[in-house]
Amino acid sequence: MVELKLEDVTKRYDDAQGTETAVDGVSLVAEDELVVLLGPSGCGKTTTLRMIAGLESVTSGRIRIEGEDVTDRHPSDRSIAMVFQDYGLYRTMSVGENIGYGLKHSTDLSARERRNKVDAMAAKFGIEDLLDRDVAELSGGQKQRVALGRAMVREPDVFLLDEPLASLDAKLRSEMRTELQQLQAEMDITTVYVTHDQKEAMTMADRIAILDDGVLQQSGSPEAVYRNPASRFVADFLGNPPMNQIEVVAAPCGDPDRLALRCVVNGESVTLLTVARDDQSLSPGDEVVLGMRPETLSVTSPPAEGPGFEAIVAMTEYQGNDNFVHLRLGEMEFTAVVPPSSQPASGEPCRVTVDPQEIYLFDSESGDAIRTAGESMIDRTLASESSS
Amino acid sequence: MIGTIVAQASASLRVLKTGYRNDSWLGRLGFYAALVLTMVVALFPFYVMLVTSLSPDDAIYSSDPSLLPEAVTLSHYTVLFGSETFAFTSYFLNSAIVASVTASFSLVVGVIGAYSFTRLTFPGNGFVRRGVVVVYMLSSITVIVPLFQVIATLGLVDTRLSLFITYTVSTLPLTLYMLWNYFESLPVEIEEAAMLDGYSRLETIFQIVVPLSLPVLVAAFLFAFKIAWNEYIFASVFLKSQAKLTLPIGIEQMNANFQNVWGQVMAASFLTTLPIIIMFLYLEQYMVEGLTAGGVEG
Repeated sequence: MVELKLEDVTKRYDDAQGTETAVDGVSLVAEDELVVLLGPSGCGKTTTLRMIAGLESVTSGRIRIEGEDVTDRHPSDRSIAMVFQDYGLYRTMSVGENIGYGLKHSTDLSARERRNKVDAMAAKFGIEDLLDRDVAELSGGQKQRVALGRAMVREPDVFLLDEPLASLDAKLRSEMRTELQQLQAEMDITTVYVTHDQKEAMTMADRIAILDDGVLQQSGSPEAVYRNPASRFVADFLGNPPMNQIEVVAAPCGDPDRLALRCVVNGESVTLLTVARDDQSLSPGDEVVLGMRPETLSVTSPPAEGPGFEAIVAMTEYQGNDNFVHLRLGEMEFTAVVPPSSQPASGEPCRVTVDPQEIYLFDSESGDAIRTAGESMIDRTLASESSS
Repeated sequence: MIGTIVAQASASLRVLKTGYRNDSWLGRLGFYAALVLTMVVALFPFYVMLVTSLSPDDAIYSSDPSLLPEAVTLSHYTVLFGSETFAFTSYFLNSAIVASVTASFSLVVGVIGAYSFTRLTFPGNGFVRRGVVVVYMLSSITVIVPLFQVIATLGLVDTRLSLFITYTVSTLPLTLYMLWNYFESLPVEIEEAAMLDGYSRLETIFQIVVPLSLPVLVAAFLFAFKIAWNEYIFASVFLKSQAKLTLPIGIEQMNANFQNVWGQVMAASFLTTLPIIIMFLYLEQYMVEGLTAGGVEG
């Protein structure tokens, strides 16, 4: 049971060009879980990890492990271990020496005890046959296993991983992903994992923390951040293909209980869908950003009469288990994910519908979420409970 | 004919620009002609040196010199080692001590200096780095007078220490430059991993960085050794007593103090060149790797 706590951690770099804030007031708690720091390149996720490791100084804020302030401690006095993207193995040593090197310094175990530990760790990662080899002779996956073994052998309180799978090929990456997940679950160790790959984050994380521009945007379980994104950025970053976002205006429609969400296409106002008036915190005339997950759009071609709106198919991308349909509505482009049986041809008109419960609404200025599909679901559950 | 030459010249220019060779026979001929010419210019003096050192006196001072030795003798070499007049062995030993100590000093200081340039951020890092390169551009003759004053003030005239200090300082820019280029190509993660494993910065340098940098350390040592081994000006100004002279000064003194000793001078010169050549041949494999730093796999 180890708690890692970041309190308002900030990192500023001063250089000739001025001050640059790489990490801005990040607060985060992780306890016996795998927290993924996710964000685009340069968002400050690696800097945050390096501050936890002690490889980077902290400008302000505190870092605590088990309640103890480790902010100013040497990396080796923090009971952490780290795995680097490019492995960072000692190239002049054998596999066994690599794994045991840290033990030699940080513990007072005898050579025999160290050897036993190294053997046990090697067996865990299936590299017991490689112990006498030079690291230069290893493949990428083997190197990564050595790096993991080296990190784990010291039994750290906190385990840090900096894009550990980024240098591996796709197949190996997914294998290692599963292995890492099992390992983390087995060892039940507080782990911080940095990646820019949202798929890695979604599949592995107990909790995802999304950073942008050094600021923590949102943290929560993968389901929670996917269903209830706090902002347009989070909504856009999670999901492949990303969420469609269209600027719309709320307007009254024929039904007094409902509001139409309209956008302007070629100078004409088009209704995309109508939403229940009391369901959304909207009033007529509000300008908001409508978000629709590609997998919630349904596409009918040729267009039939009914709800939804008409768009033109720009291109259909075959993906194997489903198709991505790129649609055009005037100047706007958006994407739908449809079953492989549906393959609308380029240039064809089609009708696009979306369940009003599945939409997201964001403030058009701040980008903050007004309404998310996850919240609608909770509402629905509550409604069904109260009616029964 | 002119057309062919112009075409060849433009082709050579293209090779320079693109690095892509597609040689005609004329191009290859030109290449080998240039190669032979360069070899002759570079190696002829060494040839003359060797031949002269092996020729008996009458052949050396003959009015009809020949490029090929007619008779071979080792008498000049036996004189160098056997007679009391020439203190060749002591010059040789002096040079060896001075060059080894200098190259070792230069390497230790260079490793720490180059590491701090590439891994630490401190105010003035870039300024000092550029300064090092600029200092390397200065010729030793321009600093000899102030340097002598410093050495005299410190009371180090006619001591080996004066050479240790000045040679270390004068070889350091090259050592630093070679090492920092190499260090920059080393992935910093390895050092960070060592720090996480509990090693201090100094331990990291000497247990992680140094073993990884062996090729360039060998190259840097050899360059510093060569510079110190061949240095003439500082040694000629700072040293006074016969017993402390290094080879370049010693050989020059031989020539100045005695008449008609060309055979011995050439034999001494040849023996002076030998250690450097042997070291180079032996360490060449490391050198090339060290000098072409940058393509290090991660």
